[in-house]
Amino acid sequence: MHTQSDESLYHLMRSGDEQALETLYEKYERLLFSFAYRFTNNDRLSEEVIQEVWMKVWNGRVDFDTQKGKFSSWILTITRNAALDCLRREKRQPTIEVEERDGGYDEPVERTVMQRETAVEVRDAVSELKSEQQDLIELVYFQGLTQQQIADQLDLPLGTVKTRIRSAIQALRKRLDGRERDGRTLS
Amino acid sequence: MEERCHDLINYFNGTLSSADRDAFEAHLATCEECREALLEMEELMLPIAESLPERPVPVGMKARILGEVLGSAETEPPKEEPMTTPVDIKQARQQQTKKKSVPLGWLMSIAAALILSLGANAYFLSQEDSTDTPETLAMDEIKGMGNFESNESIKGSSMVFTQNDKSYMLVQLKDLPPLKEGELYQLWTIKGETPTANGIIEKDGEAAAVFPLKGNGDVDAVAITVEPEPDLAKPTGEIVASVAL
Repeated sequence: MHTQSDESLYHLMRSGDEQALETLYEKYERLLFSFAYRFTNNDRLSEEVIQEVWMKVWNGRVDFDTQKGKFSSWILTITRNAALDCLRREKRQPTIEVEERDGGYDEPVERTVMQRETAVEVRDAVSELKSEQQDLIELVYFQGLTQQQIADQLDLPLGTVKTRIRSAIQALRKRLDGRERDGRTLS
Repeated sequence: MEERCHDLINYFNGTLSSADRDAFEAHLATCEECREALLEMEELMLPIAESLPERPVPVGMKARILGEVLGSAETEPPKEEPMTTPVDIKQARQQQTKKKSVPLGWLMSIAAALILSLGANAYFLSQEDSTDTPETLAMDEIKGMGNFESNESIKGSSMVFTQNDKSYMLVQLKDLPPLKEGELYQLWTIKGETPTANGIIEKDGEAAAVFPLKGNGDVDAVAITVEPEPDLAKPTGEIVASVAL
């Protein structure tokens, strides 16, 4: 049996195929949970976020348009929005919360070599950005601030924020592309 | 740059009012720069997400979430109230109990499959006293059920139910990997953080069994480990399968 694409699984799922839902859920469980956790710093809230995401997807309250990009980007966007909404509901900024749940986790599965390499490369690429660019990536992606809040926080004119964000994103993209092209060596 | 272009970040972060969101989407149709910038931001989401440290997924999350999602009605409104219990298991179980009169999707089919399968192939195991097992599977109340999750090949389901004020745990398992000489599968019921040895299976492949529950029958989750001897005070082996009820 060949592996089905996310897009075809999505369409099967929307027609009510529970197995397709389960397959998609399993494929993205760890990625989405770690992603949600980056916003909430809390296992319980992260699980709520993931549940809300799949509830919306299964019940068609959000719709994926294959013409507008990849399923992975889309489901991460939905997860990010749900996590930001969750934080706004909880009316708190991300904080570090130590949870005492000995043995309360599914046994971790080793990440694939490729995932580990990607993780290290993106972290390296971010760390090579200028400090303001790193701040912008953090504020845009993980804090979900408004453009005005970002302007205030970084003491930038409102009109400049978007341009700076775009150049930060392009700088990061360029570094990642450079790594893909040149192997480990940063050009 | 148009005035509307300033809303790009707010659109991306979902902080616009619905009127402003509609207006920005109309703007997107005509502003190539904003479209490109938005696409760039979205495309970076995957590498950024993959770069994050992995957070272990809580035990039984899949069963809880898929149970809720597949049991949800098409018209169910978005959940407004965040859960308040420290661990979701209890509330999830209460929600499942409340919904017993509506179709529960896969959970009900598991229960049906379990009952049918036990009717045909059941063997009953008792930890204490063989007269303690129910003669029939007339359940008074289902207190929780779900599918096992496993990093091994193991598949199966578990259900906790009451009958004549006694609590029982029904498990059905398949694809249990072969055991080494002297090993056994130990079932643990877990309440809070405390595991209690509650039943053994000394075979591989398929197994179906009903175990009387020790204690008051209040169980959050069931886990299975491979152990060298039965009914140790604490698990010594790794969890090979688990289910939150």
